[in-house]
Amino acid sequence: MKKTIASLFVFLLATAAFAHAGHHHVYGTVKQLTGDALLVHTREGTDATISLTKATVYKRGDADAKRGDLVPGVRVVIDMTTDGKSAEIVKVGTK
Amino acid sequence: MRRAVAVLVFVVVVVIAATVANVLVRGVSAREGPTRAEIVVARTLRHFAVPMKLRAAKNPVPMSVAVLQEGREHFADHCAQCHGNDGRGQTEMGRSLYPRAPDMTLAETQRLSDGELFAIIRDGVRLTGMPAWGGEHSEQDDWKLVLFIRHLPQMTKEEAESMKALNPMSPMEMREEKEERQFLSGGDSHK
Repeated sequence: MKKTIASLFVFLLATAAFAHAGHHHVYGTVKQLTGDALLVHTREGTDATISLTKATVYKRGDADAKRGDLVPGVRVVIDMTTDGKSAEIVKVGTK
Repeated sequence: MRRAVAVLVFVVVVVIAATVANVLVRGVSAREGPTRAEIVVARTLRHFAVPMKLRAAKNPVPMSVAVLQEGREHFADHCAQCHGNDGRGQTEMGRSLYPRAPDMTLAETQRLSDGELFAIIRDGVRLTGMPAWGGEHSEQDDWKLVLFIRHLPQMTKEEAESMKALNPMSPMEMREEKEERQFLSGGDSHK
């Protein structure tokens, strides 16, 4: 009984949590990097501005890459954070 | 006194009604992390869900290089999909679970007793994504996993990297990885 009540309590508290943008990937080509804002031309043909943070990780294959690798024309695949607000991992292209 | 009780009952009814209305109108999402109150309640319940005798149990398996390797392989194959090879929970699955897969290198996990870690592996945690693995493999294997979890805070990047070869991959993940690799190496730019 106690567990049921506690579970119900947890469920009710959970109602405070609501959806934000989804966790998704962005495929595209770097157009410009200004401060923490990365402008990407996506493969769908639109432009998207992606926020980079201190926690953003940069990879090229299995090796580490750096923010300076994000030069115009380079391809990137970006894993967004769960809340969709910033980049979690930026995978940098080899071409 | 009666008046105070009546006011209290009224407030409780209003809060419950508002909460129910909120759920009906907006729904419930697992995209945001649990609130502080939920975390406290859930951890307390998890603590009491472990049998008292087991809570105080020490790991009967002595640490050795071979045992650690067994634990590492088992973890990479069964646990890393949610917890990550480094145990930090930064996987697509781990970040999307409710509650999120914990960073097991931190004190919140490391201060749990051997018995509590063993119980969580064997019996799972209700209302979370943590399955009960008991019966799937031997208790010895579970205790070896406990040793591996204790090793996580000292784990090197190279060690986590070496576990990648042991991680299972779904056909969809294989397709996604291939698509990413092709795109990043200058292949087809259209979806």
